[in-house]
Amino acid sequence: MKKYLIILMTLLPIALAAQNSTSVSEILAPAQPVKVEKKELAVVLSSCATSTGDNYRFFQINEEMFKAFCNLKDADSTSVALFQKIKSVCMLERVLTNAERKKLNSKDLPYDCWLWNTIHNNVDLTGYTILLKSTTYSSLTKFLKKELGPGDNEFLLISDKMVIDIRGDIQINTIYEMQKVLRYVQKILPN
Amino acid sequence: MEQEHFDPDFQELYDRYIQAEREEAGRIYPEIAPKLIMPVRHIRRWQYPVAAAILILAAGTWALRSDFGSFKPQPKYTEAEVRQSLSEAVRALTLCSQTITQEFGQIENLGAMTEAISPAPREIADNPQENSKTTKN
Repeated sequence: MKKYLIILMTLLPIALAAQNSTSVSEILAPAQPVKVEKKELAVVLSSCATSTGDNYRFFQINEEMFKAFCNLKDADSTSVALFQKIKSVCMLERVLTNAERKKLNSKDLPYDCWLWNTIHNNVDLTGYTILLKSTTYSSLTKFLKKELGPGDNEFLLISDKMVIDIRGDIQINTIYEMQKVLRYVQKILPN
Repeated sequence: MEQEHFDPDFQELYDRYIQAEREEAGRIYPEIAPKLIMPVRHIRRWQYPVAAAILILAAGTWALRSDFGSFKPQPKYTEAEVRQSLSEAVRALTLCSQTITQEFGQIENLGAMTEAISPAPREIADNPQENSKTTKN
């Protein structure tokens, strides 16, 4: 009996210490997958730029700025018609080093999935339709579209080197022909 | 000091004229007095503040909307800022457009290539003899 009492007295503080350190339910419960809170695309892109130092550059332009451009004296009617339809543009761009640029030009730079993975994990991509997916050794491009409402579409271009998000009353044809329309605007803007 | 002397006949005539004019004015005045009301007297008392309020509103609206004075709304962005931001936007839009054009262009090329390497669908020969020959063979 004495033996049992000594063993019990020795085990009791050990048992108490063990109970304090870890709850039994925590040990028995199955491991829950870590839920990542989904954020807005612009927030994610902005945080990508701030967290990676000078490796990425981010900017966002709102509807008000496009309206301000429409009031400029030398704005041409074609560009004004285009900018009146655009609600926002945001872009995250990877800043390449000279060595990387050389490799990219010779198509010797393998693509990096980091941007796509970051967006896929942190942004709610439900409702987006993949219009285009292209993968080569040196590039990964995905082009997505989301219809937000009548006359309000969002086009999202994600490549391994940049993310461009355009929102407004625009269609795929508008984007397809945009570079022709913007030639004049490029001339009147600062270099 | 030299005094003016009138002809006594003229003086009498003049005095009579003045007297007659005074009598006439005294007789006519009560008749025309009610008609001598100024138009402003038609405005009622409550109409003054209303008119004042309308005037203040009109003046305020003009002051806020006009391009003169300190009430002119200042533009939120300067022209340089607008041009700089737009330069970035144009770059983004052009890059996006270029990438899309390139990628879809590749798809078109791919389509043409697929068409070129895949066997063309068999066309029905126009010549009925050729058809019959094939059947016979």
